[in-house]
Amino acid sequence: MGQKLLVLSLVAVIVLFTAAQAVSADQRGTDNFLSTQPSLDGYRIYFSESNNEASRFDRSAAGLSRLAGLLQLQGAELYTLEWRYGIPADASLVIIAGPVSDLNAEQVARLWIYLNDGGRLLLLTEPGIDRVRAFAEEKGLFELTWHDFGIRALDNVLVTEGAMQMVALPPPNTENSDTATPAATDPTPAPEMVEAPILITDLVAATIDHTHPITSNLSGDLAFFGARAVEVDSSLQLAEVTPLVFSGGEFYGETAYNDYRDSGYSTFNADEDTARGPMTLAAAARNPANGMRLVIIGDRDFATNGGGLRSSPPNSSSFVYQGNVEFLLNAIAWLLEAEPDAVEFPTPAPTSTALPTMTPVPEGEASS
Amino acid sequence: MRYLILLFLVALLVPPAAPGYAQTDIRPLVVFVVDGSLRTASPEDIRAGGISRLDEMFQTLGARTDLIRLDQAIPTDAQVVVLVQPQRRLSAAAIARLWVHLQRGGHLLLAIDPAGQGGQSPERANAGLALLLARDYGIGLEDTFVTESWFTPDVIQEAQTSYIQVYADSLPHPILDPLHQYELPVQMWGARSLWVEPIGIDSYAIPLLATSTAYGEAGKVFDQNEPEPLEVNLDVDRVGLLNVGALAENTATGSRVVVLGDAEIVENDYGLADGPRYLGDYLLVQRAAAWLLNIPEANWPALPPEITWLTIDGDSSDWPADPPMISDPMVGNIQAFRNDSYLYLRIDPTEIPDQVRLRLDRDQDSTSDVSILVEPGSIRTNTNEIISDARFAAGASLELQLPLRMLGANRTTIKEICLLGSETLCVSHELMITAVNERAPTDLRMPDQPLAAVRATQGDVNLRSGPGTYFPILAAYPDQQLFAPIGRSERGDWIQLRNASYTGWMSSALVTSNCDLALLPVIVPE
Repeated sequence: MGQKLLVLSLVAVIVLFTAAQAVSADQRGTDNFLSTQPSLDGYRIYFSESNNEASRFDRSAAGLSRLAGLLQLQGAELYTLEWRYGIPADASLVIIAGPVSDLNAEQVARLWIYLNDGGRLLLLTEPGIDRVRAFAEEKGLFELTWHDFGIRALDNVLVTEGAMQMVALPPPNTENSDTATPAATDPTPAPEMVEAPILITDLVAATIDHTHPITSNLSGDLAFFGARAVEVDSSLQLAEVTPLVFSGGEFYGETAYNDYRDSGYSTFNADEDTARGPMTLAAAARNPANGMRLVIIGDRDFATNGGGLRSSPPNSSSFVYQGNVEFLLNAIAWLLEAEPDAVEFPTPAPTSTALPTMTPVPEGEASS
Repeated sequence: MRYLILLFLVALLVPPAAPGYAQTDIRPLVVFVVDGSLRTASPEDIRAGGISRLDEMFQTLGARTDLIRLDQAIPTDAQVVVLVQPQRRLSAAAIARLWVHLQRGGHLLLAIDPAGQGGQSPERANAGLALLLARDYGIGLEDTFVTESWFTPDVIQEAQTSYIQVYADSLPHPILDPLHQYELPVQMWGARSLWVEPIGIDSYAIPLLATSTAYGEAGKVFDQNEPEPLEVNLDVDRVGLLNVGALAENTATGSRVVVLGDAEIVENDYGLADGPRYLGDYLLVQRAAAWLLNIPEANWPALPPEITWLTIDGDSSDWPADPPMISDPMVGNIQAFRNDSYLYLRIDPTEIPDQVRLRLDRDQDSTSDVSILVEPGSIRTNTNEIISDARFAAGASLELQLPLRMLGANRTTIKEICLLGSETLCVSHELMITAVNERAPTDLRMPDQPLAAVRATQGDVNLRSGPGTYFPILAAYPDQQLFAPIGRSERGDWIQLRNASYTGWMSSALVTSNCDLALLPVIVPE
């Protein structure tokens, strides 16, 4: 009863906003995807927030409030996961949206028990850029998922070369060399300037496997904003693994992206980097034996308010990357095995008036 | 008819189905974690530090055993996972696999050493496996080294010299029954302390082993460059009663865990040494294994035979029929016999006395030379020497267990027995002591004291009546035989030792100790 009231209230608010604005018929049509989504009434979705994941309460660009709001509109009950007590037996789905620090051993154990009991997990995993230190490809959770299910994300960032720029060539690494340390009186040599490409990390998926329920009805592009490659090994029999979304063939997996961020210089390293070619950006796995389902997306921003769920104009519900929204809702429906039903939500239209923000307004304008 | 013959020939050609081919092995499966990256002890290792005897023990209890690594999923039919002496921390993935096993109702035997000793760096208190054990089972690992006050920096470097004796904790549990009943010590070789929270959500935990004489040293005493001194620091060290073993059960899943704060307790030439040499260790491990295998208590193995299983509790119902009771008109019925270490004396008195007095003729010169006064809570000689390893209980019967060394050379008679009360009632003649071919459950029950062990590389080592090879031999003992060191010769080349059977001397070159033998008092032989 409370859930219906909440939905009705949200609908009323949205209708008021909609009525006050001029709405183009085209945009209204493209926003109608929610009406095709199944009801999530009764499903209990737990969000992990203990390792600096994107938060469902965060309405900023880095937050996950839009995805959370959409799930709530569909009827799902949302909770924050309390790891200390383990994953509740009634959890329908766990969402881990791009932790900054890694899950500790206890959390990995709890999660692994949950998956082995047929749990459902949506995992967005960020490349190890800056202070992100989560989900190394050969440790912790990915050691387990790779060994048992044949799915993990790699320790790289998908990049392709853009325009050339002049950058200082980094000094050679002399840590293990036999050269004598220059005397203190030696003048510091000027760095050598070289031309190097700017690395592009934002991308739109080039190829989508439309045979999977998650991707069968996507109507828009899928945008990524610095992603790591997802690796799958379909030869393992324990789980059925399906790569869903692929980058273009011009991308390779840069393993020293932080060095590039520091110096602006990078070259493809055949020994370390992942070879150029179409690479998986998201994949799904299921274990028919115990019901486990898992979706891994190699980019946290695929689902954040300011990333894949950004809108134009801002603070509207007119999503720029409708494909991202569809993908996420489809993925969650697939993870939950939620069947489509007749429930329809009146779809909000874009607003030209931004919702209130915390941006300070100059005094002169405030009075007008 | 032709068809019948044909069918008969065809039937001859078809191989008969072998019986049992389709049968599955219903014995419980025990898997031992053998992982080179963790440097765990192996059941395939028959050497001193191996756990092949633990493997045999599980098999004797009806289990089949196998080896696993934790980078593979644990078999779903595994009932018990045995993880002994992991010398490195388990990875998150390894812990996750272990926890999946426990979550589905599997059991775990974990025997884990303290960090630092021998360069080991196993699980720490505030991470990984320890956190999960604490939260789900109420057993926490502590980053301590259980240290007796007489330990020295040299002693703690090796497991072989950092042994301690601990006892069953006071809480009852079937695993502990014989340890409680017969006050059996359990020997450990370099232990870490545990904390045990008995009551928790969906779980209960029971401390198994405890020591009240040692403290938990938390300092960096194994640091190679600047080791911290061995001294009690009340801010960080654990003091008071220390638990060094515990069990727990998760009542939601039925999962059981046994955690021992020392790995050697389950290793071949340590806790499970042949004999069994350390009966307390052997029974604890055997019964813990039976508990982990869900064997009904009534079906647990009987106590080893040829051992004197007598409870000194004033209830004589467990005393043997042989040797028979002797009736004395003044005192009552009396039974006296001895095994390899103790005199057992039972009196069904005509009148309950305040004290019992024994007069002994230790040097066999037909005159009594020592009196022993016995009353509840106090057993001492006429010279006020407390006999700490003697036991006495008064109930319907008076029961006394007295170390044989108190009898001196005369182990066959008691010169006089008197009951002291409102009047003094004495047995009118010397009482014969019958020798029985049995072992005492332990020949050393001296808590609060340093320990010394025989170091025999070739044959047995002689215990002599004085500090020199010209003194008579009292007995010969094998390697690792335990004693309490009580003194030394002036030059320190001979050590005076004591167990229940003898007080004697052994060459210091053939003795190791968990204390500094040079600090023992100098004793001049009489």
